[in-house]
Amino acid sequence: MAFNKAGTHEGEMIMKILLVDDEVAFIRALSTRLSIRGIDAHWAGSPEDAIAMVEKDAYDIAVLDMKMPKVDGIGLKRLIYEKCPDMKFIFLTGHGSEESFKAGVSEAGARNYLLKPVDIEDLMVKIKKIMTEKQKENPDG
Amino acid sequence: MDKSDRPTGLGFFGAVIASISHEIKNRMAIINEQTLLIGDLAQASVTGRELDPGQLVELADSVKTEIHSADQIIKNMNRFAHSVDNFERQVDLGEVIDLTAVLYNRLAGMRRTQLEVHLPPKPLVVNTVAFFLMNLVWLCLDTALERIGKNRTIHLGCEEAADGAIVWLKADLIENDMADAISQKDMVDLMSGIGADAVFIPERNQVRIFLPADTDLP
Repeated sequence: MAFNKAGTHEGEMIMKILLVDDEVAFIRALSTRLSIRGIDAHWAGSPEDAIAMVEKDAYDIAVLDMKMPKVDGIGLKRLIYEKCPDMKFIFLTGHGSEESFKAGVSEAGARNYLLKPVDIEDLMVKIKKIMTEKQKENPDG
Repeated sequence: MDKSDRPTGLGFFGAVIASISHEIKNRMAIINEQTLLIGDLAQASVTGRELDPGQLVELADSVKTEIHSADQIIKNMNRFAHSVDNFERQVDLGEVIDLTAVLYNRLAGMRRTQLEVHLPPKPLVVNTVAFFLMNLVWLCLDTALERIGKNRTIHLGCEEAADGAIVWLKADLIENDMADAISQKDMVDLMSGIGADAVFIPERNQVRIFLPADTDLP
């Protein structure tokens, strides 16, 4: 992937993304990699922090780890959705199990579900698809 | 948890390996992401983004830490795998309890619960089947985790007893009772396998598993 002088792609629309994973080192690195690619990426290391952030600020997409202590990705999605019904979701999981896949697909749809380690290009494609759909739903922004 | 789903024998072995693999996968995901970030930062610097040496040092240190963690997880997996060597043998009870707690720690953490291990000051050697004992303690931990109250700490330890040794588990339980759990068939079978006996002491919120010093194991 090539970067322009500013470190972002030419003509990239700025999307605001919230990444949530209890593995802080992972989510910080992923967030920075997305920022280099022109995404306005923010991260939270716990479901509680994520809820506090969405109450304070507006995000376009939440990228959630499926397995987190106390509240899993699906549970967190439901909590966030109550406060932000326009939010779209992508799930990440380290589990390749059929059970996890079915749970993720049922909540987010197969196209919005990624296995770790995350291929950032796959994640970018999913983010762009969601944003395109969002713009079609709300053409006036 | 449905008691028929509780992992024993091969099921226990599988449950532990599954948990270990998840831990290793988490460490690998972090290492992967951080090394790719180092690459991204280097590439972005070619097109004008300022490179922060401090950030690179921090990332490299973090990768080193994660590799060390993964190495430790693999060492613990190796210890667990060797728990089936020479099935019945003399073991240091403290080491067995400590390893069980280390292996269970991730599952406890997922339920926001801490494990505190209390080991005797010197080795406490018993003749037993380490694998079955670890399985028994694992089931006790599972049960305690299901029933734990607001004070989310489970204490696990062992001590010398007349004619043997005791493994004990203590937690602030909502139901204040594990007597039914230790009389379930899976627990009873495991205890028979190592010649052990268990009681629940409600006033102490404690399960005590007695391991006799000399046992003719079946």
